[in-house]
Amino acid sequence: MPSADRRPELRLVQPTERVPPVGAAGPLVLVGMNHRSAPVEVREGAALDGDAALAALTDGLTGPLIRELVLISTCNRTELYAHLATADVAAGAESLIGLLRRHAPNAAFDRSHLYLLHGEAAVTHLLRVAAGLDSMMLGEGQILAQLRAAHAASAQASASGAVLNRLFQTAFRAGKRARTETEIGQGAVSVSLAAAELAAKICGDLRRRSALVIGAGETGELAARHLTGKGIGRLLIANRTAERASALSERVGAEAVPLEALGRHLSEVDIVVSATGSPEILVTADDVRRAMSARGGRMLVMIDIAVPRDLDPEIRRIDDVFLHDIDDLQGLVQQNLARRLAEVPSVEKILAEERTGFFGWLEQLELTPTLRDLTRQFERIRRQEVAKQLKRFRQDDHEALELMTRALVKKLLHLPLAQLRAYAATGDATRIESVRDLFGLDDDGQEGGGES
Amino acid sequence: MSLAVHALSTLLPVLYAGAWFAYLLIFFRDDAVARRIGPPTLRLAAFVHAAELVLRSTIYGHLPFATVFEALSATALGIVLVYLYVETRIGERATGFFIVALVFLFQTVSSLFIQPVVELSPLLRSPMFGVHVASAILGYAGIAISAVYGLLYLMLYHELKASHFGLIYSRLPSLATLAELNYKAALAGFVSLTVALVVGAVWAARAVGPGWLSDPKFLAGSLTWLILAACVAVRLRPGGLGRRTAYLSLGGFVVMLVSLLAVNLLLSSFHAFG
Repeated sequence: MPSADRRPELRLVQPTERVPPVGAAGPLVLVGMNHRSAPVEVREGAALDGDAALAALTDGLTGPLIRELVLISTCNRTELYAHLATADVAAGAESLIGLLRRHAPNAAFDRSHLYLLHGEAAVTHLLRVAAGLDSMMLGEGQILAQLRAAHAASAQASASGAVLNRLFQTAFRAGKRARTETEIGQGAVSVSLAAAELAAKICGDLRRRSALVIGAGETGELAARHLTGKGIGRLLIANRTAERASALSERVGAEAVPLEALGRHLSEVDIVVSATGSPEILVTADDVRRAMSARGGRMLVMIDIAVPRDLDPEIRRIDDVFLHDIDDLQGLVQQNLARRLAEVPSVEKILAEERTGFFGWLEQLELTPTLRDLTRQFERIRRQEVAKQLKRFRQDDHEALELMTRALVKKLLHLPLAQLRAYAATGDATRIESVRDLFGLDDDGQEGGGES
Repeated sequence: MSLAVHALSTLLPVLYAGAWFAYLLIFFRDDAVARRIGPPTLRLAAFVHAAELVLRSTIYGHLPFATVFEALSATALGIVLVYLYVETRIGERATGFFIVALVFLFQTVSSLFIQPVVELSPLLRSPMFGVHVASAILGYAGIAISAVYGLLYLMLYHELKASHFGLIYSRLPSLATLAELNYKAALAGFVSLTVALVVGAVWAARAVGPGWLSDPKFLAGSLTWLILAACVAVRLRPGGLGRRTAYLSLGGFVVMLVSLLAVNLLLSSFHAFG
């Protein structure tokens, strides 16, 4: 294959520093849309899950251009990662777009909603997705599980092979490292989770604590879920309409209590989260003072995420009671977001390491056939020459001739092979390319090597 | 041999300074490298410290409690050992910064002023002395640690009350954990100090006669003991009061410092070391 074909000019594809040569490893191409490139109406239509995803994977592999395929579909993104069987990146991308059109016929997307990346840019994108850098909520952790599921589905459909398997393993490791080695996933970035984290910062292990959630609306439910997520020992839910309290209690595994018994529960529980639509104050400072004297000074965490407020701001003045309102929590969320943002450079560093590792492997994949081809070529020339000259030697010397020429070839090849391995280790594919050119390893003719 | 003791004694403040710097980076920057090297450095320092005290005891033929500076050094080691136990037990490294600061201070003062005892008072040869001082040292270590956690408790308490979520908020363990450490260390200190007082009283009654009751060191020790008793008593009530325990442990620490330093250096007492 002429080397000119390996660097196609493609209008839609972002330029990258390097396009992997087509050999054992063809180009990697990504076609996708996310919350930044496409509005929600478009993303909804392009979401492919379960059977639809399986059908798309199977269909994608029937074409001649795509060697391996992984499809990621979450509420914020639909992405197709392909390892192509052709060096023609543009044609590969077109076939992926066609695939998306066929399997998401209702999606009203056009080119402007899509991003098309290949080579290093595609790999970088996947690693950023895995680390949560491309998520709507920076550093969000669910995406890693979604990537695992997407890759597993593809592997099950035999749609992913050596290259994409390696790529996704790299992405999983990068995502995990980003979360353990940096604080990209640290600190709550939603108000209801911040409420649960704040409660844990005061009370310690929540398994030995009890909490009361006032209000069975959406916010109340989120708060209740985050508290159970942190293993709260006992959870009570109070609501103006008792039915909603019981319904939510059943869903999250809590006990519904009547709103009238609030005073009694105030002296029992360690944490109160209030999120009702009540226009007036539900718990006054006097209620809390009474409760505190019954508690013998045991700490009480009170979190008010309702607007207008449910808990009397005067409560703040009572000793050993920690009152926080929605402004406090939003401040905490902003601060956590800022801290995550500050971690991005460290995450990028990890991603760069992992990316280098992946391309090193990819080049190795490319190198192995080059080493083999080069050795075969030299061996073929040796045999041809030996066969030509064999008549000139006595029968007794044939074995010596064979041994001598073999040793000669081995000696001649020793340094070039070692150098090739060294090039691959540095990740410089162009040198491997030059070697293939120089020795005509990609030529179809068997007339290798110019003997005089 | 005494040269080796001197060398180790000089090395200790350096080691503790290194460990403290690592814990400083852990506290302020949550530095990954510091997190890896801080705890081993502190362990190494504790090991060298223990070796130094053993060597000192062997060479000079008495337990390393004969002067106030020896006692200070032993207290520093006690604090490190208790802290290392807490660190492994609850995986809490952020508070090391405060503890190691105290240890560094104690050990530096000790290393600067420590001198071999030329004439050992025959009183200090009694085996009762060993038990008395060893448990007093453990008591001191408990009080010092309790005071550090009490201080941290109060800092976090005020930060939380003011809904100010700064470095203290993000690095320190939960308020409940700090209260627990504050109390447990005070309890351990209380038990050890009780032993020290009882053994000391029995021993002094035999060795010194009735005069020991008016000894300033004994009075200061008793006052420390009373404060610790209050710390423990406060917590024995249902619910318990974190802040009161914290204030009491800080008070106990101040009285302890006074009894360890001022009484020994300023007042005359049979209790004065050396």
